Amino acid sequence: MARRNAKGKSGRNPTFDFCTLTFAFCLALVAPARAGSPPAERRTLPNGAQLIVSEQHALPMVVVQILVDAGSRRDPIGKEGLAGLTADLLTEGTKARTASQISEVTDFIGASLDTSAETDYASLSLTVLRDQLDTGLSLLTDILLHPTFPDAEVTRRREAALATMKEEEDDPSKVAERAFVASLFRGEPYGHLVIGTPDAVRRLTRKDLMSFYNQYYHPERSIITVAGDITAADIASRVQADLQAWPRGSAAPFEYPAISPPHPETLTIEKPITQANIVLGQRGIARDNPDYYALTVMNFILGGGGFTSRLLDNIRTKGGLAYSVASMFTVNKAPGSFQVVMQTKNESANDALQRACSEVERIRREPVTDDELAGAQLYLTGSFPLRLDTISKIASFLTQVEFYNLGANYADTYAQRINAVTKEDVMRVAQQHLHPDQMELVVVAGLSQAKVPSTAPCPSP
Amino acid sequence: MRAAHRIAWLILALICVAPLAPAWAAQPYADRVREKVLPNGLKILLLEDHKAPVGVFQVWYRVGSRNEQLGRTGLSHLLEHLMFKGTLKTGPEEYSKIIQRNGGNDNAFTADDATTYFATLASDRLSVVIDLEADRMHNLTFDEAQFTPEQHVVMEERRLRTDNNPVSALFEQVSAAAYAAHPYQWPTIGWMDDIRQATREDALAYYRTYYIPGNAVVVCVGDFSADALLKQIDTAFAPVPLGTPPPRVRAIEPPQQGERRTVLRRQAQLPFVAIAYHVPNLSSQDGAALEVLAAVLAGGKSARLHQQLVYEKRIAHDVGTSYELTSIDPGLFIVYAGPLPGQPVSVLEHELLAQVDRLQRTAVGPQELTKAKNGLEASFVLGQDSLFYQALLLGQYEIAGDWRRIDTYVPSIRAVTADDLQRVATFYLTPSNRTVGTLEPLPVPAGTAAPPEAPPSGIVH
Repeated sequence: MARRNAKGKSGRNPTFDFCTLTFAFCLALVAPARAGSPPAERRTLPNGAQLIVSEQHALPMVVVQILVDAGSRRDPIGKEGLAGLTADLLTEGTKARTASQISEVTDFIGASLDTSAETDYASLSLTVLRDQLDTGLSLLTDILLHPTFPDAEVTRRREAALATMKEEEDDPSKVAERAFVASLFRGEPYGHLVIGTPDAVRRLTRKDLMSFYNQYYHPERSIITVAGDITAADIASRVQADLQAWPRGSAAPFEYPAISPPHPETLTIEKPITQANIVLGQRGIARDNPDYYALTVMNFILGGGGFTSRLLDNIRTKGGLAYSVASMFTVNKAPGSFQVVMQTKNESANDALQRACSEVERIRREPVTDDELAGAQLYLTGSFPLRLDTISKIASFLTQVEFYNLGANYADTYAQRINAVTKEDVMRVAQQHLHPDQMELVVVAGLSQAKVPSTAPCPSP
Repeated sequence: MRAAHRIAWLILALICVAPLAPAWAAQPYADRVREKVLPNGLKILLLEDHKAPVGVFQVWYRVGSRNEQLGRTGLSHLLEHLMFKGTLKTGPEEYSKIIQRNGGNDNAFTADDATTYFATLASDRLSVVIDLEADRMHNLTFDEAQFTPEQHVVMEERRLRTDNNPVSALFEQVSAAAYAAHPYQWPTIGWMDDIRQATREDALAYYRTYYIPGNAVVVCVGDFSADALLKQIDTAFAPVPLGTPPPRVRAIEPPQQGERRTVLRRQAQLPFVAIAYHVPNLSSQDGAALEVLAAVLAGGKSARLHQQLVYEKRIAHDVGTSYELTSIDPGLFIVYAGPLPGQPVSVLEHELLAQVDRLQRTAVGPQELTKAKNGLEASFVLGQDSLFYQALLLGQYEIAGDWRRIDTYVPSIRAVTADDLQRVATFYLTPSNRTVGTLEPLPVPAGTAAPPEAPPSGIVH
């Protein structure tokens, strides 16, 4: 399936420094300069789906993305992993095609056809040469409208998901992420990874998938984005005709339940490894929080800005304690998380942790410098063209702007919003949204060497 | 199932009539790239691409782990990190700060054959990175206070990438076993004790030896005028002194005359097997056939390894191939598989070898051959969506010999016949020419301490 560069490359930065965990966070770094919004035509189809078309003629290729309100937040209790498995199975058989036929045709036309679930939505995406667009679109429409979830395929993908989870037990960062999410969002829709839990996935059946699909795969809250070498009018009538038979559903819009007060915990997980994986964090914000822009600037200075960030300077550059250290807000429709994530040899786990705590405390107590503020604003606003320099990135950008209701002029207003943030705003949002005394801590390590506090990871100042 | 397959062939027959069209009649790179060599030996490759107001600037040094020696492994990569520690003009870590303030992203990576530094910026800011790169080509400076923490950072990087990742650790062992005489045997990041024992003087001497203009290639792709940019680059880099040509690597790997086996026994959830064969690269006529062969085996979900091992037999969970067409010296063709839980690794090895055997005994059918070629060709075309990818191609091909060879890629893939595939499979994928590596998990006893940070025990060559 995969092509792997077995020898690998070693580099200066972990490639995930800037955009970690969620699409939404990547969007946080999208800032307009002179480029502005990509051209896009928006319309609502008769069945309620939003269609966005962006003509991009530099290359003979087309990217199609479809977002459906069928993310893992919709997983019923006890069926964690259902949204993910349902998305997985879309490509594994339709009324007209077997799983093998779908992969055979996809590969034959050199396309990629991927389906997956995130917390807030499920997505289908097609990347295809323009000359093969007809075939690609037929496949995409078919897997969206007519999946059959054959028993044998459900068994296969369930086994694969279980194997992935088993393998992930050897990935300490994944073990830490799983534990953090389960603890922070306990009992809530965000309280599990998309892939689910082994116990729940083992019990998922074809009937569960069919019922999830029938309930949630409907057009009324879906977004379809087409970017590439097409003409808007042609593609709009084609998509509209293809999706005419997609019936509206009756599922109510998602409402996140009431959030319980913080219940910070320290979780230590023993692994026979030489390096401790540390997640320190707490509840974050929803994407529609008006503090989003000030928090984006604050987080850039604290730990989101790579080598110019305080966490990296303190823990990596000065301390030599970690290769990778970053902080991030995962912003979703409902409040997500704030996390500091780092890896350091077992022996220095507590040293690194205390440095992280002190940086969180410092940004709450002292104003950032003029220089830091300017640096963050210059980067966030100036790097905008880089976020829209491929057709794939343009398609993702337009889809996300629509999904989070950021407004068609989002790209044109972003710089202004970032530049309006003051030092006082940065300190205010740090005080309001970062709570060192309420932080959860997860440490996956060789615990006889990695000594961390058993409660209250960040001491009261 | 049988009937379903028959339908599949009908559908495919229809597609076959119109195979992947001459989808893209792009101008050859040779007609679009501006090449110049400065009097001090620096080679410059410029490619205008105006689809976004962005430019990618890369500096490739012809030095990587291939140029190292036992006891000094990892030095190329360590130096890559130290290249951000400042010059006579800029302070430590100021490079990234300056790039960020100009809305850019920067990073670097090291591989067997080369060390690459890159920045992506709005194209009207390219002069910023041009000046920074010219400066650090000859003015690098750092003291012990910067060297030592960075050495520890790299040790953390090794723990993260390899020591705490059983499959990465296996691939490291396979390369170590497959080569007797050639430096491709050691990992780019270096052996832990070599990183630990490296000194500031080692790094500076290495810098003086290899970081000279005649050993470097500048690649820039994006929205600029080549004439104007060439002038800027010329002005910035002309003052860099000529230097002495570095020593050439003399090592040649002798033909392998018998199977080698390596077993990695360590704590892990699942076993893994990788089988590596010595093969030629793009400097041989057989390179293109090996590239297509890799796609026949693992070019998608419909390719043989996935269809047979994952889909039909349900024994594997992760399968793939690894082959790099562009390298200075001949590399490895690797097939690998990770099992579903409960499947012994011996069964996987047997099945991988059965797939190799099938390639040798039976010609690949026309449909399957076309599909593999379509996939490679489409990937090549779709890759042009990214400025970074285009710069990467230019750099990789130039390091491997000549950037103009990019233009031979698609024609050489198209020219591959079923006979070629059978011939190269028979000639190279032989028992005597293979190294078989298996990861044999030891159970993880509860509550055990981490192993000492020595080379993993239980390695059998």
